[in-house]
Amino acid sequence: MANGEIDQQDAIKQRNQELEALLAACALNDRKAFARLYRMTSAKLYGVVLRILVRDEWAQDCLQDAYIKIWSNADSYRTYLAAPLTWMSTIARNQALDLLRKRKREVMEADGDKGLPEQVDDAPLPLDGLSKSDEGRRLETCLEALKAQQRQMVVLAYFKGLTHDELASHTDTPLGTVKSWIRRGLNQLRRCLENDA
Amino acid sequence: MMPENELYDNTTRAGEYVLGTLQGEERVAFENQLQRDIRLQEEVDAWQQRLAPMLEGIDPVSPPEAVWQAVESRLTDLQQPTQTSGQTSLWDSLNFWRNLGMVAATLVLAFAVTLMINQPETGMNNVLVVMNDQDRTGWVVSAKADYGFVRVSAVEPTQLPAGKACQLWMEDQHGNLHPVGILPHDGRHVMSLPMMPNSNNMFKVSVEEMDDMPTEKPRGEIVFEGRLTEI
Repeated sequence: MANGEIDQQDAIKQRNQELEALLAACALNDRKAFARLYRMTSAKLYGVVLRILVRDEWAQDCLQDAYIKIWSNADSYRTYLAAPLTWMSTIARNQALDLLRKRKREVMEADGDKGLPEQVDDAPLPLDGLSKSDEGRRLETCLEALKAQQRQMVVLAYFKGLTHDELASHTDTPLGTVKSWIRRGLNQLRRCLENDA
Repeated sequence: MMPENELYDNTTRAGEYVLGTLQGEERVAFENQLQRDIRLQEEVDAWQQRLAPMLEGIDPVSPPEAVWQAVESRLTDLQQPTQTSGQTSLWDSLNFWRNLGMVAATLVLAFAVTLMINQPETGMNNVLVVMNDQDRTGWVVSAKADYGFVRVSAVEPTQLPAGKACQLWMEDQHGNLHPVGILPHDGRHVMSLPMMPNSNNMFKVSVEEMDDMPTEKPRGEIVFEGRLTEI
């Protein structure tokens, strides 16, 4: 392993330890710790919610909600279950998908059946940068082992919160085919990750 | 080749849920089941972990400063002012907080009623009242049989010196303690339990250094112990 890589891993480890300590302090109502946690992580989390929501104003509302959630749930964070930034990013993604579903419902109710036309942008999906961690490298390898269409569906769904119906119309594929591709894709992915772990 | 149904088990459905493709009634039904089924919750957690590395590749984007200001003012709205005067001195005598189980028992019924009224749907029918250093209810822990989570509500938490925290522990049948979580300063929090609870499990609270919370056994003094009471 190159020296640079060891340094980088050390830096990640140190950052994780600091984030863990900050989350523990947040669980005890320490607002200063929370401010520092926000400074250290908000650009990452904003990137995540912006990727999913595309619109700045939605992403900013969503980022607020995500941090309120992180603050209120800091005491349920478990270091052995996930790295702190993974835990926080997952909260941000879930919050963004919730907001997206809510907005879709509102639009459907207002405009009949049109949905949100610009909700799928053509920005490249960020798979190339996956391999920062061991988990990232493993997932990348396992995603590459999927058939191209299965991989596309899994990635589109993950980043865009597309439902089975929406995936079918977005990729011009019959609904039944979409469902079975997703199921098989997920099963294959899980087996691949478990075998490799 | 295996029939499709055979592959479509809870693990796969949890994957679809995390991926986001479950929709409409299927999604609602899944979420209802998720509330009650700890195994399913574990499946969902596992999928979150499996797929989360996809988020690593996203480039950071600095949010506008206004977002932080909005978060800060929402937090201030959330928090109610608490009286802290004169409590540090009482804290010096930790024994003051010990062996208050009998007082707690008399309070259980009152809180049980409150809990039932507030949360009739959850069936949390076991409670533990954790006393604070003022001999009053600090937190209410509610649980139910065969459910791997407790709800911990802060009522009048003990005001701790800076850098200290109260940690909740659960004792197994061999008398070993396992960490549950940090008792919160406000609000209601759900914590996962290290094992399924029953009325025999002893719960303890220790006071620990916030920067260095133990994971094996308590390092600080045990200030409270008690068992769940069925209501």
